[in-house]
Amino acid sequence: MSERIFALLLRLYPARFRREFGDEALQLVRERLHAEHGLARLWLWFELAGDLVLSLPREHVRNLRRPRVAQPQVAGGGMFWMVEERPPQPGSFIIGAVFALLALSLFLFLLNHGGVARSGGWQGTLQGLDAAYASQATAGQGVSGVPEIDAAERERVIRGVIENVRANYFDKDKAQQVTTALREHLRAGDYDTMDTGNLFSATLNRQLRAVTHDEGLMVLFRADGLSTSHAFATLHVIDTRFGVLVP
Amino acid sequence: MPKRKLDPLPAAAFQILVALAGEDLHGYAIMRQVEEQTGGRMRMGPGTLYGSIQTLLEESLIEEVSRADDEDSRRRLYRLTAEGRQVARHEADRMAYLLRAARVNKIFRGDYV
Repeated sequence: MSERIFALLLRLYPARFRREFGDEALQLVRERLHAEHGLARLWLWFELAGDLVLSLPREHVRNLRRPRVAQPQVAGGGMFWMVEERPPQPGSFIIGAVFALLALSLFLFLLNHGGVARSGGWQGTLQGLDAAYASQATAGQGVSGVPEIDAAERERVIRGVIENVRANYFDKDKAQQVTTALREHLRAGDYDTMDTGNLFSATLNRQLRAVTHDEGLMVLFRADGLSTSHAFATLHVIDTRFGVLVP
Repeated sequence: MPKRKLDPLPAAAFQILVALAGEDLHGYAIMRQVEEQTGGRMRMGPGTLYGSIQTLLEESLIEEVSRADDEDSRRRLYRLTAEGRQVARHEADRMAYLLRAARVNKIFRGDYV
């Protein structure tokens, strides 16, 4: 159902864009829908709505600057030019209008609640999302309902983060404070109800920043495995799904 | 450097160039790499991602390599060109210069950046 909705939204884009990237765009959304659940999936639709609002006018302007005809068809003594664009289906406009309203609602909500304008841009929005994950953890509920990590992995990740920060972080005092803080949280059982990787890594990042104020120090989680090659030399892999970026 | 369509370089385009600096990637992998290298701050939707890719292809800053394989023929791999690497380097140098200026003027007030 979700894919069908997005396929309808794709119809709003120019034919040239759809021909060139339509399949890939649909595949991208399919993979994100597969990877993200619960609150993250809801957030995905907000992101898609915002992306639609921003990218759709740009692609149509780009298309207007190009010739709007396909290759000429030669028949007999004349040449016939094929019109490239067909009108989108009415369903596309309806879905597009719904998403435009959603994007506008989201923008107004963030504006009134200090999401974009006052709290440092998307960072503030992500912090709000982190808080939503944390509140669900406090209530003893996992975000997705499906356990993704266990106590042994949590402890392994914490140990890995501590080892890498102590070995590689430039500020040894802050590294010690991080060690103390994470061990105290572990001893207090603060991570016991966190059974999803995203929630666990978001919580660790919040705790790391509370100590260091360093946004470059970050725990990464990828459910489908961390990429083994990347642009950053400072990523220390803890296990197949967790790593820590140490600037 | 001659004036080009991507001057100044938009943030999304720069992040795509940086993502491709390490290896050839398809669209979804580019999106994930950009998310990782921005600490989750930038998650590009398909419209923004492929619109940027289209512009970068037109400017010859990236190139399409080949379809990944027959099973997954919808995926295309993209590769950074030499010109694209130069443009990304130029933009990174510009940011590094700005960062030095910010440090000199003590913008960060003791926080490490």
